[in-house]
Amino acid sequence: MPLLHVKNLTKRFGGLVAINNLTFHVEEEEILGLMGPNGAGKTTLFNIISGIYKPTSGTIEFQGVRIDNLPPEDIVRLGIARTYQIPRPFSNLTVFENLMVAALHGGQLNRYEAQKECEYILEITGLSDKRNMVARDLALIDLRKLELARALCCRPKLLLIDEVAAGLAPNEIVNFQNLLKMLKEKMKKTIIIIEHVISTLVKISDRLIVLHEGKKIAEGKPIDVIRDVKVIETYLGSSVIIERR
Amino acid sequence: MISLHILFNSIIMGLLLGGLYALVGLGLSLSFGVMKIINLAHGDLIILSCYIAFALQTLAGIDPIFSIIILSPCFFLLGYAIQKLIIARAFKINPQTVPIITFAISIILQNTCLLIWTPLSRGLLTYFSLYSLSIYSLNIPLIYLLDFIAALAIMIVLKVMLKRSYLGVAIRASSQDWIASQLMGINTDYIYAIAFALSLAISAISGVFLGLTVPFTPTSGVAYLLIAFGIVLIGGLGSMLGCFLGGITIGLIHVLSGLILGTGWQLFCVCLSIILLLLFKREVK
Amino acid sequence: MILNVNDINVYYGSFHVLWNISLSVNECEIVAVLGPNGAGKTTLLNTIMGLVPNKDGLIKFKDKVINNLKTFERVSLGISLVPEGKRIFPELTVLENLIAGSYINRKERGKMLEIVFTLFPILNERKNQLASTLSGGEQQMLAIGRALMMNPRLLLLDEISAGLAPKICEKVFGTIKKLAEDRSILIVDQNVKNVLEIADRIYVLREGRIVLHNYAESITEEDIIEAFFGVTL
Repeated sequence: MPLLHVKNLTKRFGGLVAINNLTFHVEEEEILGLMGPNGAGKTTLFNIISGIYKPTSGTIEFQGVRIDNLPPEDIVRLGIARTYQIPRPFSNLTVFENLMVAALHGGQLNRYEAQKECEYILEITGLSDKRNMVARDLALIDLRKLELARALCCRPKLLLIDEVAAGLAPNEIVNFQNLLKMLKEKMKKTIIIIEHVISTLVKISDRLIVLHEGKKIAEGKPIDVIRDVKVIETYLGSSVIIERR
Repeated sequence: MISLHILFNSIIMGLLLGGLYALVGLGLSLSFGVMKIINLAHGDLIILSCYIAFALQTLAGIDPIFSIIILSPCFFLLGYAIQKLIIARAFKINPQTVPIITFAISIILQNTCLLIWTPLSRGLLTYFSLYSLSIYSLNIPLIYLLDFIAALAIMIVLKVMLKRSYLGVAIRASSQDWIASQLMGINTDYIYAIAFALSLAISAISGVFLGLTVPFTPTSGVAYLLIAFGIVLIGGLGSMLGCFLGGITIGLIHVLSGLILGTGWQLFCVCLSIILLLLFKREVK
Repeated sequence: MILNVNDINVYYGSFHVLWNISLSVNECEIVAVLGPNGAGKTTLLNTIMGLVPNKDGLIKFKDKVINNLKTFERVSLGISLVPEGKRIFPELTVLENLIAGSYINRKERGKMLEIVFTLFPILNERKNQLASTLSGGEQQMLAIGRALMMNPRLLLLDEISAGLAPKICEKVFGTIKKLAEDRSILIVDQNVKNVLEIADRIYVLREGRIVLHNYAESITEEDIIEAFFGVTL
């Protein structure tokens, strides 16, 4: 049974169809990459899965249980956590305090357990030496790590990650790629990741889905998907770029 | 019962007096209607012009009509300075500070005039101030006719400038899209300053004619600010002709309400009709 | 070399958007900057025009350093931008928009109007209409015509194929090719095919870095796809 199963999902905002009859699933301990041009519906999809929006039609099942009718807090407690494209930490709290909030409420741990969990997550994300820094003073890569760490403190089974690589230097991107791989292999997390830096997606995803105007236009192994004619057409404007002279 | 003759006389007077209201509105039509700068000191700047003309008359014996030649360029420079040094900087910090800053200027002006000239009501006098024209059986104060001519002249000059000159195109373009205007090679900071300077130059002229037509006090500016905004909005933002016609309309209402209801009702009727006209307004371009 | 961008870095706040970008445009050349969404193409053009500041690096136009000049000053040197989203003046007529374009080139107004109306006859037909009443394609033509009025030596074009019907797109690109006979053109677009047909040299920008630079005739399809996606096929 797949960990997450999205069936015939449609979302309309007035006359605009943001998601159009989308069906896909995610297996346990899989990294599923999600790509598509701007406005394809990727973040909207995350918003629906995490409970911020309700679908217009279709269902979402998590471990066999329907979650599309649940409020966001309940969905977190069931084991789905997400990060945001623009990091939104509690800017006046320290890194450690940010994580504690997540662990106490999202992770529903008691004080002692929460502290231990936070220490552990600080270590694996490489934020230990920044634990007492106030969030608003962090550099971009550390803000992104904090977003991820906070999501981890809710002890999720499924992580929805919305863009990590934009604006990072190449070595920082590699750092993140390794972190995500470790989350999957060592911590047995399942990840759906939206990324515009396609090389990152191709490197770490087990499978890749391409959205365009709310529809799934390709699915499969990364290296096959990016060769897909429809995908090339979506990104480059046409499938045949150079007329053979 | 009001005789037809008096009614007709009043209508003509109203139309001409409307020129005064149009004058009050035209400066604002440029700064607010076109450039969208919210200048809450507009009325007080007009009154400032009244007082300086008054000072020139009482201290140097300069006739108010001639003082226009001195005041208008001075107010032009004043407007340029205010926009460049104060309003532009306030706008960069936060566009919403502009009405607050101009409101502050308004208070400073009112109190300065109060300190220097006391709350006593003043007026400007020129040698023909008490003249009345007698055309057929009509009796019209000359000054009303001059108000009308001045307003008409300024309206036409502004309209032609905005429509047909490069400066006019630059002013209108800058107010619609300042980035695109920059891409046309237009120095938008300079254009904004020039437009505001022109607005004040017009206000200087309005002030002199205002002072010649009616008495004024340091706080008279407030009512004229409201009326000016009303006229500009009724006439349509950016329309000089609309502002002029709006002014004429208000002038008519002023005189007719005085005739029918009494002078105490004039300001009330003017403001009430602005509200009603705004509810039912149409565009005049 | 009419335009020389040398090693510029651009930030939005602390976000590093363009990394050590160098590019050049020669006389009467069409240079294209391609790349996926968010790569920084519009930012690059805006930086050249001075709408966005650049930290370090030099921008030289006709061998004159223009880093510290305001946008309108750069324009008067002979660079014109057709911005993303067209940005025509909605409450001016078509003719007034074009006249605005001749603000710094008043002497040649008549001559340039003739050229623009010959290139885009529909603008002549609609010259007294308010610009906001034009269709998307007509507004794009107006935006290009307006930029031409100042007879620039270097014309920057930002995403002019956006929202245009394919037929009109082809027509417009054909016009661009003709314009390059008298001036240099730097074009940014997402429509790779149309651009490749007219460009002399290509840069591909991805995540704020130049990842490919070659003559259009030497570039293969694989090169472009790899450059866009950042993966080797």
